[in-house]
Amino acid sequence: METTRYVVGYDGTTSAQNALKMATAMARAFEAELEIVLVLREDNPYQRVYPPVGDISPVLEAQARVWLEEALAVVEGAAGDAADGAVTARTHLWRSHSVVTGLLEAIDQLGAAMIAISAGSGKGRLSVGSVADALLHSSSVPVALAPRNYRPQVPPDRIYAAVGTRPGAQQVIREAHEVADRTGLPLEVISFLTDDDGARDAAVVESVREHVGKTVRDVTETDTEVNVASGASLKKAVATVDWQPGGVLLIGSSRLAQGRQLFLGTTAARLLRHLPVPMVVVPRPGATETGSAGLLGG
Amino acid sequence: MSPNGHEGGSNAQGLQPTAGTEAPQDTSKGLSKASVGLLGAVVIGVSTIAPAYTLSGALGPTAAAVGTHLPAILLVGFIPMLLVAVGYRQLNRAMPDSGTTFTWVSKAFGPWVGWMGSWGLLAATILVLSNLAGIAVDFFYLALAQITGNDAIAELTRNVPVNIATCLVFMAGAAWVSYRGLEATKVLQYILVAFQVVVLLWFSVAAFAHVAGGTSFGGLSISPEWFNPFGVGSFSVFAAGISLSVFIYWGWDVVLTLNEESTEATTTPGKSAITTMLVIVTLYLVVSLSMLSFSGVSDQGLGMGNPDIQENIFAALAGPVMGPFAILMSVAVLSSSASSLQSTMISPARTMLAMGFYGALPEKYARISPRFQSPGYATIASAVISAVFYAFMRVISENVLWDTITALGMMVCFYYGITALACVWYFRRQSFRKVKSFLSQFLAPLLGGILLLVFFVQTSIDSMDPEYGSGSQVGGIGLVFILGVGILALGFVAMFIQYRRNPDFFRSRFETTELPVID
Repeated sequence: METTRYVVGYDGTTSAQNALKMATAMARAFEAELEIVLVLREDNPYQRVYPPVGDISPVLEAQARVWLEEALAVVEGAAGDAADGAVTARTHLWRSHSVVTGLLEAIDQLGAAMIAISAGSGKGRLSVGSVADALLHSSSVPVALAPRNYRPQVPPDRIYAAVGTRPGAQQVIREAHEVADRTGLPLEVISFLTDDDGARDAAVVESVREHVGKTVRDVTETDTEVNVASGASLKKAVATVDWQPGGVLLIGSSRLAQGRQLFLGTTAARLLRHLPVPMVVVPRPGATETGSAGLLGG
Repeated sequence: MSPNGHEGGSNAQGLQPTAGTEAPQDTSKGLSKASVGLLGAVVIGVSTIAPAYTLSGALGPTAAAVGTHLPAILLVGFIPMLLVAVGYRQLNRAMPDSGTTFTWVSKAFGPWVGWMGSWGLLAATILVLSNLAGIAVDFFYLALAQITGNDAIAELTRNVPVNIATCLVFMAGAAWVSYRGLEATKVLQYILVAFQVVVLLWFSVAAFAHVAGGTSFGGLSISPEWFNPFGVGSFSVFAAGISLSVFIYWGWDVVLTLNEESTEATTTPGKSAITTMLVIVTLYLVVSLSMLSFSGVSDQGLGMGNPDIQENIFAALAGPVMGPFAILMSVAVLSSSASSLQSTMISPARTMLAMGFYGALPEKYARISPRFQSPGYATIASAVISAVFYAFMRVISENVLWDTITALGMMVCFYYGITALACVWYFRRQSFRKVKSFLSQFLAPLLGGILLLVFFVQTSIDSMDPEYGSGSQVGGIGLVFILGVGILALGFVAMFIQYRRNPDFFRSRFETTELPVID
């Protein structure tokens, strides 16, 4: 079996270091290797600098190398605590006209199964930064997002799958089940209900539990824990879940997404704002594809 | 999936980051290279020269100096620029990765001269930044007045606190844009350049129409004497005119730095440089001829000799010449100075970054913002210095735009001159081997460098006269002299302070014979 590789989008910021720590923990749990990619933006030839000052890219490159050295130290530090802490990491300086394009090229050319990145900070409805947002709209592999203030403490010890009652839930459950199965971690399927969805109505809650439970049984053919988290708002619903510090939440991309491409749905985006654990957004399968080449790789 | 295959943490090969030489990186590089052809290069050149802004700021002071010989100075002023640019191109080819006055001069003449040359470049960019922002402020309020039909708004620019506050907002905006690493796109540049050229030609045609219809202010007819550079009264006047025209063409040499990205690297840079030159010289001649014919050079009313309108000539003339369409000129100058403001804001920041990197400035100037990959500290520093400089000048000078343009011309002469001589010295061992290299590496830069330094010295001496330029003075000495020479003296002080703090850079020896690499 080929090695599973995770691309980590790294830029030397503290939040990128947190994303890297998250990726290291996941790489160890899911037996993957890390490809730490720092994209240096190339100058747009139509934006001249005047008076000409020559090419500063050697200076930028020297700085980027320092950041990548720091990145390796972060991996070493994050992996070093565990006895079996060997995580293979390589660093890459990528040149592209934009960070997103560079990361997508890296995913493609390194054959990555997932990309990990800091969610960054964004305003408005989508609470993610511009790079994470663009990746969620264009990546064909799962995107692992480290919440803004996420501080990884323990390696992944529980897989959560967030699903709704609409079609498309099977994909996420299948992916999560596969991950849980192969890593031996417990799986918990969660459906979030707010008052708008009828969270106060016991019958509605029960029917959602029924529906999700049936989907889970259909896909996994096993007994899996199904939990309906209900609250007045999404924030309150999220707070009712007893999140394990080492949990990882898998969620499907929006139904608006084109086949094999990601699109972060509204619920998922709002969820990210309140979530204490990393979130992995899994793309919908393409029209012609079956099964998953998900985050565990081929 | 075999984690056991890799024991002991990060593996050894991972410790060396992959350098940007592998196939994927080259592919993406190739794409951006292919995107600049002849037309693109000319657009980039014209956009950098920013003709609408340049003419608005510089035609008045130049006409004040040389009168109707303006076209002659525009033609002749190009020659030293061309000679120096030939040398620039040679240096740029030899040291493409470190193409700055700072590194070139340091390598040719040693760290001390390199430091001062770079200071001259920094001072010139600080000066032009404050001038750009000042012109933008004038046209901002003028455009507002034209849109609302309320002439009182245009007068707001004469209110010093309002003017300074607006200027600071513009500078902060430009600094924010360059700190974030935002860039103008190809389409935007094409639109901006086409718009500027169309509006400038429109202005000229309208001005000639007024002259023909007898409704112009001056109503001169074009005379061959206008083109005679020897008709200029004295060498001082000639030197002043050349210093200004050096500023007018400043920006043209950017086309020569395009060789790395141009489609057909061997032929296009030369061709596009010449094409850009022809486009610009033609445009400048047409505009200056039409303006001279329309206004004349009297010091009254709309005459180009009137000190009240000289420092921002289009602001005064666009209305009478273009009528209700004057708003287009406001938009053209405003957009061209705004886009220049942004591209110029990046330059001193990057120069400071390089100097910080080599230890010629404190290390903090070499700090790079990880999120935006831009020199964060240096960007903010150059914006703050320009803003403070502008506010200071606005308070003490009667004619801040005029004085900054004149001092800027001096500063450009200084650092161009030094850089040209650096070219002569750098290539001294090889320039006599072939006729071609003798011309391009020795004779052209030597002549150009000496000419510009002579103009620099002459203008410096003349500018001590309190009547020089706009007539602003401090303690009986011309403000332009205080600016130009004061800035250089300040540079000496800053250089010695840095020497005391960290003498390493000043003790380093740069080999002129080997091809230098930055790290």
